[in-house]
Amino acid sequence: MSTGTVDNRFIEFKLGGQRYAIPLLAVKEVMQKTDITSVPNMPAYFEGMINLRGQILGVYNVQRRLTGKAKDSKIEQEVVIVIDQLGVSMGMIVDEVTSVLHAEGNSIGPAPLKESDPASAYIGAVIQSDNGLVQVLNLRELLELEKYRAKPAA
Amino acid sequence: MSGMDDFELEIKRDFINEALINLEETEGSFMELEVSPDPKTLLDKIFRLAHNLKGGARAVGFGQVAEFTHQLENLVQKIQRSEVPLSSPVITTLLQSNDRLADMLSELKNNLEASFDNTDLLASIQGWIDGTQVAPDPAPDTPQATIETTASSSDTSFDIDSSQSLSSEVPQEIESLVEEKKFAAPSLSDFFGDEPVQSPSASEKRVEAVQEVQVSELKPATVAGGTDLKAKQSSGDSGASGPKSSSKEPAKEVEIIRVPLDKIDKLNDFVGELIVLQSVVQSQASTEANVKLHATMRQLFKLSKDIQTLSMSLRMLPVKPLVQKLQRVVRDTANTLGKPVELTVEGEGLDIDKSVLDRLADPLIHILRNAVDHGLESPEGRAEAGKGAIGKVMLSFMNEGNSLLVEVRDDGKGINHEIVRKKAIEKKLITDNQQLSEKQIINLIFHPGFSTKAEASEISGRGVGMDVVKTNVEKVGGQVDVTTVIGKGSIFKLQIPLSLAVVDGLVVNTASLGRFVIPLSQVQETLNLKSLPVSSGQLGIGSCLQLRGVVVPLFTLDECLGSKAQVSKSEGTALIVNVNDRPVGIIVQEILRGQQIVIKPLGNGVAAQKGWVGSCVLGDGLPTLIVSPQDMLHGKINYELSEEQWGGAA
Repeated sequence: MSTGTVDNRFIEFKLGGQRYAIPLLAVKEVMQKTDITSVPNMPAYFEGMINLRGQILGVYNVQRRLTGKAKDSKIEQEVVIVIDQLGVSMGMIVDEVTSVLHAEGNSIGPAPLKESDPASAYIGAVIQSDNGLVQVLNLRELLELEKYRAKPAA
Repeated sequence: MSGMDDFELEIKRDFINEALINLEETEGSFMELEVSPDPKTLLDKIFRLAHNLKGGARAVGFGQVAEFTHQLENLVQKIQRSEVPLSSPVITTLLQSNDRLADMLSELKNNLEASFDNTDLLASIQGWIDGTQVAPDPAPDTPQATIETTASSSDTSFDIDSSQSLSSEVPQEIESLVEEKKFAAPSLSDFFGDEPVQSPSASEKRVEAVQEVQVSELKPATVAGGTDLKAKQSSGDSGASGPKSSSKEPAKEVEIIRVPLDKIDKLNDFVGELIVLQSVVQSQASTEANVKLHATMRQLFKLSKDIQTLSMSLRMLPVKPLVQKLQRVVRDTANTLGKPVELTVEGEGLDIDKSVLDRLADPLIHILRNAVDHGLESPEGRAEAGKGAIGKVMLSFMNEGNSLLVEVRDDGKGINHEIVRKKAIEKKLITDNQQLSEKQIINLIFHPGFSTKAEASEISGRGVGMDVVKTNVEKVGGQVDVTTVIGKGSIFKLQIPLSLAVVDGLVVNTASLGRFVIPLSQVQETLNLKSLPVSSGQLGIGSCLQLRGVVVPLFTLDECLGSKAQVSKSEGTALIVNVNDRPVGIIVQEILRGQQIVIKPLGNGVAAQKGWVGSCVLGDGLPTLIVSPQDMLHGKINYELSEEQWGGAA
């Protein structure tokens, strides 16, 4: 999907010891995790809503979304990456943002997906970096962007 | 479309937008023609509009618009020269031309190469010019009294669609017109008026709008029905005097710019956030001993409040254009029915929030039509009742606290509750032996099942649309009330929050889910459950409360929101809310406070659920859901008792 874009910069972050990346241009800002208001009747991976300078955003817990498991208590998830993609602004909780990756030439390619793993639906590609593979997340699927795209004003 | 470069596109769009505004504002001039003692000024204004449109349309290449306005211009000129007598039918043709122009321009807005078939109207206009079309009674004393349908033309037949297109015009305007209620010097108008080809600027049209306001204010309001109405009228005036007072100030030059609405909303968001931060800083500073800091904080507080007031006011628009549409509806309805009607309007100088204004049009159209169709008697009926030949309808807008109060009064025959009752029984809305007060019976006209198509007249069946009125008004957090006196007339009262973006809310805490905000307008009363006998529920029945002889079912807000947590129903506070016109108690752990809240859409990622109105940011900067118990429980509680459930007992 994202191979057509001209920009080859990605923001890399850590989550549960794994390395992930998302396109830099999709990122609006990275902020410290503030107080999150939980919302009833929502799936477990929906952490709640935050107030970003007057704009109210939903926040997904990426770890839960990927693994379907409750949060590992050892891991302190402290950072919210606010993305703005397809006209949808949302937050995603990660452990820490590590660097900006430049995926040159052949270093980015399709991910060797393991279809049996439900998380594979959210992986778009892999980047080969100096110290190993980085999974590029498919934000459209991960954050269900299509669902909120044409949202009528409340 | 490929041949059009950006510049050409832009000037075409600019022309269309400008022309639409001009048209809307000139509609009032067309209407005033019927009553004005000095139609010359109005005709001049209309002539100038047609002339400017013609020039502008030619310049940007809209040939059909130019051709049409050319013809219109010719007709107006004939009328100016008294070669065609001014009469109600010819005004109808003029109004239709106004509509047609608006239709054409709206269509062009979507498709710059649209083409139109105007032969019908052009023929009608030509008919007037040639004198082949004549008014049956050219110079009546009371022009509206001669509204008999003209057999010679189809023009006077009522066009049901016109109202729909009228009401839909408001929301179609994406851009909001930011304007100050101060006025430009008349010389400005003359200056622009002398430029024939250039389409008139927005400021010029403002000047004209202002002149109209003044004209209608000077017109003595003639109200029948005795002192009661008159007294009310003066209080209405004082209620409206706040925002209106500036119209009496000396003329002052003001520039107007058009700004996209989303920019204004964004500004309001930021200002709201500024206020929140301001209050956070203030609470942090309160522990400091520094006197200077406190003084500065107070200044900052005042300044941010001023900024908030100003930024909120940017969304406010005058009701005047809506009033013009409503005048048109009354006129058309009266024409079709052959009932002479005089509509008096008060408080049209008020400003209200754009989104409220947009949603007010449909309910008011319904009510006004009903007032003319069913409220007012026929001329013969009025004579029998000893009333003047001309039916009176009064429309007034006033501010009352945080609400807008809209009243529609007529001096017609009133609503007979016996007839309503019979009908409701026929429609099985109530049972034969059900005891209801007169007020309750009258309110049945708002019931969705009350009116049926079979009995609907051409314009409005008895009660047609009344349920829609109620639903629409409640949708914006308002209420409808009707009072009626047989033989004297009816009053429909609409109470609507002044702004949709800001509401009074109750911040409540729940036992298991944290804080929520409930719109205060829904809450009838609050009761401390500790001091009340709560029946904790029996087999097949949930918890309930006996309140003044009525059984009130109790729900915790937690369970309304889908929580499985076991929350006691015998403590906390119950908010009494009307659901389907019956009281229901919503239990919360505590009420934290009441405060004004700025409604924001639900955040992305939050799947909208029934009764979730939106979200807001509370004073501590945390987001919170705004929920409507009325909507959450709507349809969940079944109160309607069948005969069997009654056990057949009377």
